[in-house]
Amino acid sequence: MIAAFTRLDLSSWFPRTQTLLTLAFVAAVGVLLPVPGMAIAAAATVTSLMVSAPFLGDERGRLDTLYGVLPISRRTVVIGRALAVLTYYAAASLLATAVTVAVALVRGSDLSIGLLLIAHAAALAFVGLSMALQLPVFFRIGYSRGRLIAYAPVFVIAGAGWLLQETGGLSAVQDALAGVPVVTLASVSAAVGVAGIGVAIVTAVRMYRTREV
Amino acid sequence: MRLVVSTSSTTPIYEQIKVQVRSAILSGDVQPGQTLPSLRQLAADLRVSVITITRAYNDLAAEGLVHSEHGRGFVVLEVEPDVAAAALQTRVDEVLRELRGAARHARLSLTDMHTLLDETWSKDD
Amino acid sequence: MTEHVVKIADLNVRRPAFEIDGISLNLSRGSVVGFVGPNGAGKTTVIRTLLGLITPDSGDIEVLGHPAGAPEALARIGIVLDEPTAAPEWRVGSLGRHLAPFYPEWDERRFGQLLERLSVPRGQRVKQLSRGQGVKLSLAMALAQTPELLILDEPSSGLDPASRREIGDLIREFMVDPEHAVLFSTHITTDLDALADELIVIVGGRIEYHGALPDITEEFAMARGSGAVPTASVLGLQRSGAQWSALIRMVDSSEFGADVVVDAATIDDVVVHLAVEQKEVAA
Repeated sequence: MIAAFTRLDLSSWFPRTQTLLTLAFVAAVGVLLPVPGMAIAAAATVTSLMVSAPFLGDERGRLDTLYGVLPISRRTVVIGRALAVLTYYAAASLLATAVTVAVALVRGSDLSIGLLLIAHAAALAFVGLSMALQLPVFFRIGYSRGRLIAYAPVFVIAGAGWLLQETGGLSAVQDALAGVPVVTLASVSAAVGVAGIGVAIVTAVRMYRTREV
Repeated sequence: MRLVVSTSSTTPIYEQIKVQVRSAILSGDVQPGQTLPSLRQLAADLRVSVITITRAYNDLAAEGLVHSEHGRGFVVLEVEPDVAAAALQTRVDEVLRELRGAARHARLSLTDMHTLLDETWSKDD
Repeated sequence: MTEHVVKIADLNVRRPAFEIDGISLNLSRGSVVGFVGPNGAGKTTVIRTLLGLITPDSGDIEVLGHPAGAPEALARIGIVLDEPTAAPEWRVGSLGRHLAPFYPEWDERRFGQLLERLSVPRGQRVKQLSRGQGVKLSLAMALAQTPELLILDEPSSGLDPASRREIGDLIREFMVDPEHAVLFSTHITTDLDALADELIVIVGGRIEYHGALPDITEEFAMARGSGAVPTASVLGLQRSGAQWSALIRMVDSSEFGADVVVDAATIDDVVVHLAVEQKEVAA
């Protein structure tokens, strides 16, 4: 049932032009910005922004009512939708990786596996935290009342970056991380991402259980 | 058995159905042991609610003309020939009384009525 | 198999915009139940509550033997709202592919036949359909699920008479199976005339009448007159200049004098006058 719902959910928002444009944006970043890893970061960023897209679709097409009367539990709806968002993320990440590799080959520049690994792990961490922040809100109050939260993850990252730079903490962090092996760093990031997704689902299920649709 | 209902008539629909089914039974058009059309199918066919047909059939059951059998629906009962004849006679009497009222209302004489009856009788429709 | 498809006991829902005040009702298999009342009386709230879309403050609800909103119950309920519950981008003909995985009894052939019979174009996207086509699509979707209970919430407003008749025909055909039941909420009470077996009148979040539809003409009558209103018991009075009309109980009709006209009450008469009465009691 969860897989069936994920398919249903994706079919309602994935094939839209707006969605496909965000993927084009990821590819464009990979081609135009010659910094390896930027496309992967872009994939995470658009995923973070796209978390709200299916909720917008719910309100436009009264899909919240459809999902409410489908013979599936509310839990299935939440998990199914989380998987739909992750499917989008997987698509964006694959595209980003392909573009990154292709660009490196065309330019003949070196592309380290370590860099790809760490970029993906950091991206996953960002997506996980972003979902943990957004899914419970959207499942509780819907798109119109919750839409500002869509920008929160990007602002949090930008704000933290700025703070680190201003306080000189950035170099301290860089120094501290310099000695840590790449694999450890990537594992920790990925774990943070997976934990974020877990928290997102558990909290959203609680929030959605008694939502009136 | 052919049933026709009028939704614009002042006679309630269940009454119309009852009268038509009753005539069909008494005249032998529907034989004892046969089942009446299913309540629900008839409701769908005549475009009326199920309860309308239910009431008509229940009244016929109360009159002893049909019997509700579980799983079979409403089964037409054997009607004593004299009972049937008496009931048909009653029906004719009713219509005659109604006719008399209408004729007096229209200021038609008995002779006029005889003529009209002769004409109607010989017409085959 | 349980005799009742819906059992509601002492339901209370209190929200700023609407209120259900201690409603109890049972819906039997084999019946088409008309659900009428003024705007905001609580019809939609009752329906949404029994679908599990709204969580009541108190009360017990059982739908097809399960709690409200249970997937086992929802799989056997066909729901027709005034707009189809489908993504605007989906094509009509592809809805079966999207929905069939959730409904074990989905009948794709029947869905196709219904679309054809109701003239809903298969190739259109849901968002391109007219309002009437949208309602017809909803009905086709609901019936293709092969439900036991069909719930319609104001489907007919904005439909032409031919389409409303078509809906009535499909409901009667659905009711050929005596295990089935229909709950039909509507403002167009003439839709219920040759269709409903029972009638529920809801006013201000309470049930004011629940009985066999044909009984309404035996239970109620309309009294009309001018000048002073007789002291006899009236249920809801409406005035227009010197003229007045009142809903009365049939048993009280002998209390009125020769200058008062007493005749049959329609569903609308009952709804309008019971609503007036409620407003006066509240004032």
